[in-house]
Amino acid sequence: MLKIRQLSSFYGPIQALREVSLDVDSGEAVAVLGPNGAGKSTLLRTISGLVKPRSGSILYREHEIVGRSTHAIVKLGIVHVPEGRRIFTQMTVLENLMMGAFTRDNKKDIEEHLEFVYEFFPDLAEKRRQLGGELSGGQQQMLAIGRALMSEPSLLLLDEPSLGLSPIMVEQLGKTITAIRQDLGMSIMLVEQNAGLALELTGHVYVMQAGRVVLSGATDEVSIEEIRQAYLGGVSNS
Amino acid sequence: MSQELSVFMQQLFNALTISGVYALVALGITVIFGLTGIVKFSIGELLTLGAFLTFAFWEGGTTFFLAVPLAAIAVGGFSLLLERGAFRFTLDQPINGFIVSLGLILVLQNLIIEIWGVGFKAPIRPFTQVWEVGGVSMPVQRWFVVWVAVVIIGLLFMVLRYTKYGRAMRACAEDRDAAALMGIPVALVIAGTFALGGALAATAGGLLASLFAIQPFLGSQYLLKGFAVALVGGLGNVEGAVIAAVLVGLTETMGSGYLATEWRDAYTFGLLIAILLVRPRGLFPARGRLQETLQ
Amino acid sequence: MIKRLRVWWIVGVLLTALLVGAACTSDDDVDDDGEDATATSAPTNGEAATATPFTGTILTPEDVLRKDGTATKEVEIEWGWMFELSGPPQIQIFATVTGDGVLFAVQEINDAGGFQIGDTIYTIKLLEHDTESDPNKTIGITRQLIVDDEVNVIWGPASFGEAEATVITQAEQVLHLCACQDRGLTSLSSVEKAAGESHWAFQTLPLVSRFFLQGALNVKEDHPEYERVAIICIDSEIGRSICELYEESYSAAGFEIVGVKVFPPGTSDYTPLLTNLKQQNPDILLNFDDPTAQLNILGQALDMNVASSYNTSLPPDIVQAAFGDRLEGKEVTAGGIPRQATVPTSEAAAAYFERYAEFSGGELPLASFVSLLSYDFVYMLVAAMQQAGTVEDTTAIADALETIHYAGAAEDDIYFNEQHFSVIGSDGCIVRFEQPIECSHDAPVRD
Repeated sequence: MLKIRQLSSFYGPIQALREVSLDVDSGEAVAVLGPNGAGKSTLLRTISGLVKPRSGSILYREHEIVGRSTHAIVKLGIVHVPEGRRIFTQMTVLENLMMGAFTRDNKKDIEEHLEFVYEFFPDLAEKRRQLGGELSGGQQQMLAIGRALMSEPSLLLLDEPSLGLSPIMVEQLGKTITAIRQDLGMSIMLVEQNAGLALELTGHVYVMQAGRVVLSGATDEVSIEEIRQAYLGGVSNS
Repeated sequence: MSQELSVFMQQLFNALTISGVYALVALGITVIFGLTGIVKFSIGELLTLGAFLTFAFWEGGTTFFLAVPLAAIAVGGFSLLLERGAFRFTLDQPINGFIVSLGLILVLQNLIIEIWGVGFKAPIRPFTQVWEVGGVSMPVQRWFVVWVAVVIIGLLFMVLRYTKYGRAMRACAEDRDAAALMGIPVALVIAGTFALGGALAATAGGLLASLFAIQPFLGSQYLLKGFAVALVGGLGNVEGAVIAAVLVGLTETMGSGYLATEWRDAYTFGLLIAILLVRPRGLFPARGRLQETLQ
Repeated sequence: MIKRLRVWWIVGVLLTALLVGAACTSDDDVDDDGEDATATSAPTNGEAATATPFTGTILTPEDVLRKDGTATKEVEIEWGWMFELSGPPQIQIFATVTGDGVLFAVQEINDAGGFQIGDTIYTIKLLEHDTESDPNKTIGITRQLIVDDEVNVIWGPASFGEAEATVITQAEQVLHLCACQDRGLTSLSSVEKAAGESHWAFQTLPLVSRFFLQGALNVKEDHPEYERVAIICIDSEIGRSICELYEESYSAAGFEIVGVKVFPPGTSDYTPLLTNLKQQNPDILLNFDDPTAQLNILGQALDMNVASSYNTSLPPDIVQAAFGDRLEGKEVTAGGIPRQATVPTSEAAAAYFERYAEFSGGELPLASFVSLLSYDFVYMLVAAMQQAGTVEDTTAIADALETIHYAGAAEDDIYFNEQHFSVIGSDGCIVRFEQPIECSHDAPVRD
């Protein structure tokens, strides 16, 4: 579904991605792990078009998406839930969700989908008239994901969704992500610091270090030890 | 009505008209700032351009009621071109946008003088009647200006609150990247906002052309007041701008009506300073990632 | 800001003070057929002309241009010409038109084949300079004209750097003519201090202060029922001092000053202070400022029915066009100094504005009357040169210029008084609802 080849991006003068190649298959969940500054967020931002790559290619369903604008990429079905949730704090929960449906025009469809998201996240239904800024951290994360679901994406890019959440909330988040993949059949690319959570939720893992992919493999084939070594910059993938 | 009361009512009416004009200018400034962080000082010249275009359309045989929207559309389009041609390159560095806008003031001023000369144009005045109620003189033209301002402000609120594109504007103002990730064409929204800001200023200018004689340097004084209003209301805050416009209009009118007139601007800027001392970000600061990084 | 508006205030004051007087003393029997909206009233001499009329020779343009066919030489002489062609717009309008008066007169003289002195025909070449409203630039141009170009005559500027330039021209004994705004108020005395005397400087704008009381007295005579006067003026040093002069004059004429309001520069909404003044029930509202402000004040005051009588220095046709319907039951006095163009008050003035319109490309500029503050004086200078028999001996020419009386477009008898101020009168017009504009000329107070 998503084929990334030799992708290089810069963050200001610093090269954040160095010839990264990566695949996400349809219906698959992929984890991208790595220490701070490894380039994970830049990778997601490059896929969603917020950052323009210097070179390389991103094929989505056989279409080149490098060079397309962010809103065009969203229309194609790739939705990025950014780090720090970035919900609209001055808008109500309902308005936030409606922003998620910006690319869609069919009112009836949107209504139905809204009901579906409310079922998925009952807390949001209850607080639909409240401002986004008034929600708790966990609720804000649910809102960020719910907002992304409103556009019915095929590929969901999640950047550090567990950051700042309590263990109970993290557990609930895990269930949600699994449900999205299994029940909704979406593909997921999950960037996480929490390696345990990531490995539990995904079928394939990539470890990044200093802008490169240094390890890749099926989650049940790579050991925690290998990943730890990759974090430290020891192991390279084949 | 006692004389004191009717004088007070008269001053209240005087204040209302001028508040409406200030509100339109301040809204133009505040929507652009809210979205881009650019304090677009050249909006004063867009106001002047709107006033002179209204006059030109009217002189060419169009009714005033059509001349104002035509001028607003023309200036809105012009403002869009400016965004495409200049301001969009300054989005990451609002200070550069600010400098571009200062340069534009000179260019536009000279352009206006080149086309229309340095002289003045007499007011257009489609309504010449004056209503007299209890000793209060209310020119119909002034009522018209008040109501146009109220309707435009009302429409703007409705659009921002209840339409998809209005919500998109608010989303872009709060978090441009997050808005892009919703599939909102941010560049288009910003360009549209420049057009809107320009059209609002031009409308204010067109309305002014029906109240006062206009000259090429008209814009600067309204820009200053509009900017003060936007600042008092909290830069980027639309509701705040409207409330502040009424506050500034009242202060100015009552100050010069009941106290020494020559200090009129001192009342306004005194109020501005007092409010900013207590609330450095205005009465109703806008909140958004952009505002937080800028302020 | 203050400096840039100065010219207009003073012009405004002059006009306002004069016009109220002139208009109010004009004949009240208007043409009743009312068909001709621009009917010309016969030029009248106001009571102001109390001094004995001049009985010597009054020269005419024909006298100046007359040639006897004995000339054998042709010489082109050079005069300096410097005006504020760029800079603040209010000055620019005024300075451009004043400079225009000189250009136009010189063109006419040259087109007529020049002027004759003895066996020589002289034509004039103007060395034109833009002072850019910059006093330092004005000083530089003055030096350049005197030292490099060796001119004996300099025209201009209108305001900026005029005092400084005058110090130089007087030290160098160069003839210096301008409609300089400040000279009557400040710079003559400073020039005298600096240069010992200012024998070669001539002020083509008449003296400001004497018109005030005369204007006030004229109003009182014409409208004995008017008692209460309200005054609005701009907040500046000059604005305030002129306002005081107004107060003194109208008090002395027996009016009660019921309100004086001062507003900051850049005002467009005057309703707060007009509301305040209206409470005092004034009969007359006096105001002077640049044209935009006058138009705004007048319009808003008419809306609010502040007084019965208003005055402005705006051209009467602009007043009528702008306020037609709203003049019902009110009167506005308006006009031009020395002559306005809308309803010419003399044949010479009518012919002048026709020729001047052609010279400016078909249409009269906004402040066209201001060109008459320089136009006639070019002819007068030539007449003085002819009388002195020289184009170079500036002292002899200045001596002659002091004695010349000339019948021009601005006045039938123009001359310079002892202080070298021109003596010319002004036009006043009354604009009323659905009536033709009524104008008359008020002759100057003669020394």
